[in-house]
Parts: sequence; C-alpha cells; structure tokens
Amino acid sequence: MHDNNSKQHIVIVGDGLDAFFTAAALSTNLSKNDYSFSVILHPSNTKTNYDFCDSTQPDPKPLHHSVCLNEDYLVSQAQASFTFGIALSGWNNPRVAYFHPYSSIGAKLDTVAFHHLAMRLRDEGIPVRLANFALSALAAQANRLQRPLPNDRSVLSSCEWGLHINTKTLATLKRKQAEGQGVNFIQASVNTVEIDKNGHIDSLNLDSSNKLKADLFIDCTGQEAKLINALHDKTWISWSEYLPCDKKVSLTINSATSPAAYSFSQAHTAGWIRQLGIQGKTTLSNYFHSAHMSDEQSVSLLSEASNSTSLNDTACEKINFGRRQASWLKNCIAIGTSSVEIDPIGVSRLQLLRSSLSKLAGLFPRKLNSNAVIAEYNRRTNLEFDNARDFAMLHYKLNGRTQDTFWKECRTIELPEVLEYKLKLYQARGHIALYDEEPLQEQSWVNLYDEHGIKARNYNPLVYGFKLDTIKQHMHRIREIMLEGVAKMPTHANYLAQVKNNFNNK
Amino acid sequence: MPEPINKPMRVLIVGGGTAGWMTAAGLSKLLPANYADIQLVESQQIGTVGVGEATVPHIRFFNAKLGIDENDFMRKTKATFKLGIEFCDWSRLGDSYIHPFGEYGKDIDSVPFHQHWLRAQQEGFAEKLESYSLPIIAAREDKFSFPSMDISSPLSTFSYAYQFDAGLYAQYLRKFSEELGVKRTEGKIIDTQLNSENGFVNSVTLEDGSVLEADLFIDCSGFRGLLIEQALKTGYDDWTKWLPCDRAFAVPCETNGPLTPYSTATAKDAGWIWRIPLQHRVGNGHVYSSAFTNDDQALNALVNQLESAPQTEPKKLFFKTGIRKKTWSKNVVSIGLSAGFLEPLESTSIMLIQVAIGYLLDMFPDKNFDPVNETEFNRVLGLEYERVRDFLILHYHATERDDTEFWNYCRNMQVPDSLAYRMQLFKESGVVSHYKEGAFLDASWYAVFFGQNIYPQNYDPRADKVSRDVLEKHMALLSNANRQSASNMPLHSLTLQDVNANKIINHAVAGIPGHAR
Repeated sequence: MHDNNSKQHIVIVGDGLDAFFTAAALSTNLSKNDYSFSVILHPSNTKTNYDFCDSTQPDPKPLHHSVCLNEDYLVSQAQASFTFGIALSGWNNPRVAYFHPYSSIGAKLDTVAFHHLAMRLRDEGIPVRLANFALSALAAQANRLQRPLPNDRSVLSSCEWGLHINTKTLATLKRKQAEGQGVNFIQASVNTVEIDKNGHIDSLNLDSSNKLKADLFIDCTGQEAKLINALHDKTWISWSEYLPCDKKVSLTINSATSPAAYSFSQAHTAGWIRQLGIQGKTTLSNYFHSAHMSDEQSVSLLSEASNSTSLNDTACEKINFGRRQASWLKNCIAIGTSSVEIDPIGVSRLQLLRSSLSKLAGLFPRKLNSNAVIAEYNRRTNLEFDNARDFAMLHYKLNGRTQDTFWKECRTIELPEVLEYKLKLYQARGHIALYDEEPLQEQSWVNLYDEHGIKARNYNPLVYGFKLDTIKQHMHRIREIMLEGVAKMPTHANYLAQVKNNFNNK
Repeated sequence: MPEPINKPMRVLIVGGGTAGWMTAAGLSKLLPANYADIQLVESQQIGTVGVGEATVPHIRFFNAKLGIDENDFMRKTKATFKLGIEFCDWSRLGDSYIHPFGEYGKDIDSVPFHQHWLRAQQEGFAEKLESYSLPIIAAREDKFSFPSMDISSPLSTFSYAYQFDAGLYAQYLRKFSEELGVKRTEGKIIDTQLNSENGFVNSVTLEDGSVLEADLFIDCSGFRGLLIEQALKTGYDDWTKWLPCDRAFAVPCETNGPLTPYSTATAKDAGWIWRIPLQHRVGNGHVYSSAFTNDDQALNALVNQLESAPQTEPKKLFFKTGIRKKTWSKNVVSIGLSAGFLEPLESTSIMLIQVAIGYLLDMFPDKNFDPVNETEFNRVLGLEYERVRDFLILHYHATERDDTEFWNYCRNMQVPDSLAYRMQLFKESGVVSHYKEGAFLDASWYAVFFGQNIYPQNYDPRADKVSRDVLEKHMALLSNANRQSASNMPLHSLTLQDVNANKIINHAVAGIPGHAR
C-alpha cells in the first residue's frame, strides 16, 4: 500500500497528557513508512485539566492494545497503585458512606440477575448490602489485593481493578514512547489557524513564523480548543444544567503510607472532594458550585480535608463541563479535554481519553476524508460521553441531603430523556437498560440507584421460581468464597512490593 | 414488592405453531411454578406455516435452558447439523459463498483478521477467505464434529445450529409443555371481547361457545394477528419496498444428494430457492416477488430443480414483510409471524421467536401492566427486527446482477439509512458498526459483505505494522490447521448416526454467538 502514496502528515497540537498519549498511540498503530507525526507543544493557557493523580477504570473489552497500560511498569517505576473502586460518603445522607465497586456484584442464579435476588430477600426482612457481594469491595475493605491469574475460573476472576496514576509522569512516559517511535516534537505555539475554501484546516501559523501544513490535525489544547474552534466556534455543548459544579481547586500532598486501593468522594455542602493516592502522594480536588461556596471557603475546606497548611499554589479554576457536538470535524479531531470535560464522580477523564483513543485506533481510515468513519467516531464517542455524563449526574439528582440549598437545587435537575427512561425502568421493576457504548456496566447502575435509596416497585417475577433457602444459600456461598479468597490475598502494601520485586528481577 | 402471587397470572397463548409451543415451553419452564397459569388454544382446522426449518446457533441456548437432551431432540425432530448457509448466484451468476457460524482468523495486534487478509490479498499471498474459516471448509466437505471449548484448538472457532422439521419441533415442545402443566384447548376462536374502559382483551370465544379469559394474551396466531391486529388494530410497518418477495411455494422431496451440514439459498430471477436437508427428506421452497414473476413460473422454477420427485402437493404461502407497529400492545404480546415477517433467508424466524420470549421474560408483567414493560419490550425487539431486516436487504442490494427486472430493482432501490451508513462505513474502512441488540455479530457482516463482493476501498493502515514475513507464515499456518482439522472430522452423516445411536454426549454450549438468550 505504501508504494504510490506519499506519506501522510499528522500534526498533534498540545502540551500535556492528551497530546502525548495520542502521539504515542497513533505512532504505535501506524507505520512510519506511511505516516509522519509532529507534536506542536502549544502551551495551554488554562491549567492542566487533569488532576495530579487520576484513575483508570477496568479496561473495557476489547480495549485497543495501543492504549493498554503496562501496569507492572507503572507500579514499579512511576508510583502508580491499584484501585478497586470509589468510596462515596455524604451523597445520599451526610453520614452515610457506600462503595462503588469496579467488579461485578454477586452472581446470577439461572437467568435472574443478582440484585433481584437481593430485593426478594429484603422483602422478607433480610437486609442485604449489594457491595458486600463484590470482590473488589471486599478486598478494598480488607486492604488486600491480588490480580487474578489469567486462567482463573473461580469467583476470584471477577476481580476488576484500575490504576491510580500520576498524570504528569504518565505524560512524560508517553512523550518518551512517542519520541522513540519517531514522533517529532516542536516547541512552538499556534498563532492562527488557516482554513481553506472547503472549510478544512489548511495550515497552522506558528509563533516561529513558520507555516505548518498537514493532512490531519489533532487538537489536544484542552478547553482552548484552538484548532477545532477555528473550524467552527459553536460546537461546545455545555452540561452546566446537568452537572452543577463549576469550579475546582486541587492540592497534592506527600503521604508516607501506602495508598488506599480506592478513591474517596466526599460530598460537602456545595460539592465534593475527590481524593486519590499513589505511592507517596495524595491528590485532593474540591469540585464545587461557586454560587454556594466562595474560593476561600473552598480552599479552607480542602486544607481541612488534607490536614495541610501549605496551600500556596492552590488557585480555584473555572470548569465548564460539556462535550463537542462532534469531536471530529473535517480534518481535525479534538481529543481529550478539548473534546469532553466531565465531572469525574463516575468515569474519569483519563478513562475517557483512553477510550476515545481506542475508538480512533479501531476506526483509523486509510483515506482521512472518510465521511462514514468520521460519523461513526462521533457517534460512538458522543454516546459514551453522554452515558458517562448521565451516570455522573444521577449522583446529584438522587442525592439525599436535606440541609443544603445546593443539594436541594440538584434534586430539581431535569434529566435528559434517555436517563429519565432508564430511571423509570429501574423504578418500575429493577430493570437496567444499557445502550450502545456504555462506559459502566449493570452493577454500577444498580449499586448507584440502590445506595441512593431508589426502590424498585417490582422485580423480576422469575425470582419466585427459587425457594427462599436456595437464594440464601446462593448468596451465602458467593460471600464465603469471596471472603476466603480475600483472606488469602496479600495486603496492598505487600502486593505493591511484590509487583516491584518481580518487575525489577525481570 | 411484586404483586403477591396468591392468584396466578392467567396466560393464554393463542395459536400452537412453532411460536406458540416455543412460548409455552419457555414460559412453563422458566416462569416460577405458581406464578402463572398457562393455557394454549389451537385449532387443527388451521394449518401452521412450519415447513422444514433452518436455525441459527441461538436455538441451542434455548434448548439448553429448557434442559432438552440434544440426541433425543435431534432424533425426534429429524434434525441435522448446520454450520452455515451457502448463497449461490446472489452477487453474480455462478458465485457461491458460505456465511459460516464462526469467525475467520483471530485479531492480530487488535486488528481484525479480515484486514490482514485484505492486505495479504493486495500483496499477493492470500488464499481465498474461505480457507481461514474451518466451518466453511468442513461444510464444503460435508463434515461435522462438535466445537471444542479449548481456545487453542481450531475447533473452538465455530458454532453450529440445526435443520429440523418445525412441525415435529412444535410437537416435541407440546409434549414438553403439557408435562409441565400447560393446558391445551382445541378450538377455533371466533370472537374477542375487549374491556370497554382500557381496550384490553378480556377473553376470546371459541366456536363451541366456550369463553377463555386471561390476564395476559400471547398472540402466536401467525400472519393474521388475531389479537394484536384483528382485535387491537395495532397497525403494521410494511417493508416490502426493501424486501419485495411476498409469496412462497414449499415442497419436500426425498434426499438424493449429499447430506450437507448447511442450507443453501440460490438466487433466482425474482427471488430465491432454499434447500434444507433433514434426516428423512429435503425441504425446498421458492420465495418470490409477485410483482416480478407469476405463480406458475415460480412453481416451475422450484419443481424443475428438485433432486427427486415432490413428496406432497406444493404449499403456497403469502406474506408481507414488515413489523407490527407495536409487537406488545396493552395485554397482548405478539410472538412469531403475528409480530412481523422476515423471509427465512438467514434462518431467523425461530431466533426472533426465541429473542422475543427472552425479552418477555425480562419484562414479564404483573396484573397492573405497567406500560414501561411494553415500551422496553417494543424498543429492544424493534431493534432486533430492524437489524435482521438490514442484514437481509444487503443480500439483495449488494448485487451486480442485471439479468432481470427484479435484480435491477434491488440493485437500484434506496435502502434504509441505517444500512446505507453501515455499507458506506464498511467500504471506507472495513469496519462494521457495533450494536448491543442485534443477532448478527461482526463476523456475519464480514462474511456477507465479502460474499456479496463489497470490498473496502482500503485495508486498515494498522495492518502494515505486522511484518510481511510474520503475516505470511501466520496465514499459511492457519489455513493448514483448518484443512487438517477438517480432514480429521467425520462426515456429517456419520456424526448423525452416532447421535441417533445415542453415542454422543455433548453438553458444551460452546460458541454461541450474540448475547445468549
């Protein structure tokens, strides 16, 4: 194929994780004989959109190999740690906490989903907490950890995990990888973008007074969206009516201990604090609504939460949740936070970045101007972004805090049609409708509804096909196997040490 | 909490063909014993459409759920094994391809195999695509053995279905259902009573004057839709402009050819002819468009190509391709031909019955009939039908044939947007758009796209990352392994002998594509 065509030139604009991850993934996928890559290190005029630490979630299957992360390497060389889910407190009620596990919850009995069995037991007056039947939650609770062996077929294979990663380190690593794969990095900023008569980007005028032409332009300039905005400036769909927080302040502190194998999401009177740790560091970010909390209040809350007084570098930034109407327009693709900005209560930005890159890798066309490919990329990413948004907004809509004006207002949020329908279905009979491109699976939805006090009026009548004792035994057995399995796992600290040892001895 | 079940739901299934008895069997087995009181009413005066039926692998999951013994089932329904469907003369006269129940080679570095094959073809070292599919090679040699669970074995790359006598299958399930307590009533329905307040069906009246009441009615009455259409006037979306065939002749004959582990669909001047080999006979039929040919020609075309004399008078069928505007309306759920009709080109009739039963179980109502159950059922079942529809249209539309008016029409017609998009995406990139609901997975679409001579303009640029040497060796190994595996397989007819002698113990529900329902 590489005989008659001259090389295609792909330019990636941005200076950060989005740009470097994109450069690394594309240069992994595409042959040097046919493609050349440049990254223009255009400085962001906004602060980086990633928290110092961010998390990944269990790899959606199939995830393209070019966006898979080498966990052992990251844990050994880049202070990453494992995560089993999210501990949320104060969302439904100021004093109540719950766990959003990444693994499945329980197991089906014949065709009947686990949560229907749980509902049946509750009707008999037997209390059931769903997360008590999730391996990730039990392991997290015990501060123990072990990834299952590839050929494990036991309940232990239901373990699912992600990573907490230092995003700066990850960016550096991805940049190195890209450089090693022949990507050219250029220190320059983009002054203006020239559009040709067909509405495509013709070239970029750099501050070095160079003009740069390319076949494909990838916009990784974050909220500035320097390139895609030049093509069309009204393509940002704001989610402010759905995701109420509009400001953020972050802080990273040293922490000596080995990190918790989960992140914390602590709701407060006007937003929430996200806390996640890697080895030796912990990042806290306060997401809040500026009408209900001042910057000073927000910073002091963060200082309280972190037990830290060194708050020199903590400025509050505005955030503008939303997505592009279309992230791929003509010969320009917005990737990362130039394409979507999400409240990370459900799905992290890093996760959406990887997922977008995986989709792009699976669709990357030989001819860049392929309309159906562009439509398909936009269809898939938009569906995923909206599904992620819907999951996030339910945390606000279904909050149970009665004292705070902010939270009272959140309960009046009007749901988008699809989400309204999903909620209605759950309320009617505990049924979860999953659409195409869902970033989270059934258990995450069930657990969220359940922990936020949404009761289904009805459940699957097939539950009545089982004797009560059969259901009890089934549930008891699951928990027993899980607890036994967890007891045999090493502690998180020991497991990290084990992974490092193995890696260093290789 | 669900409605207390001190009084069971009264379920009346109207019609006892394949759809009726599959529904009766599924519900009686999978609904809690005391939850529903299931009755079925059918009339021996009304024939069923059941001709020889070919299926897709989903049927095995259905049978497994019911706990049906495979050997017993196969003996009693005169079943044969099926590895795929052969399509002759579809894209061009003289063409033949098989849509297999299985994948071609596995992905290499996250790049689907067919992309590497396209590259290999361009660089001149590819064998034909069939060589990389074990079920196709085995089918062409009339071989059959069971798939393996061992993912390192070539035998793990395929699945299988059955070809059986649908009438015998209905009888088989009737016995099964009656043993589980389904009450069968013989009688012809002559009237339906609606509730004057909410328009729900209250009861049906039989010829002998008896009245059958129920809470939930399942309309399995076939094309006419006795309840869903005649009583509730639900309306029908007609898809004939995309799938113009509207009639068929069906006739069995004695087997006088190889016992193929596949069905054959041969394109004709204004439709197509099926050949479905069963143990005791071959089912044949001609599906055609009355707008482009007439009954006599169609019948002649069928009879003239039979491998032996017809065993019965050919049976004539009329149909209108499409779907009920609501397959579930009020307290009536339509399943089978009363819900919609899609010609049996890809053997989907029984699969669609099964899928509908699965969704009905997911959304099974109580006496309050929360409308959300109906809405969700119609949403997901509608997607299933539309996606099968698009898959079928592709066979007709992606053709180079210009030898008759019928093919000119099909080639030039405007297809649904969903299919046009899917075709364009494949042409641009070789990618098949994913969906959650929909029985046919990527591999099926690849098979039919290539089989109909739709090729991507370019292969995936990522395929170039694999070195030519590595790819060439890999592909040679794969095709050799497939040939070797196929040659080690017993003949289909021998495997069937073992089944009939009850020598086979096959409990593996391996390799069932799609979300198993």
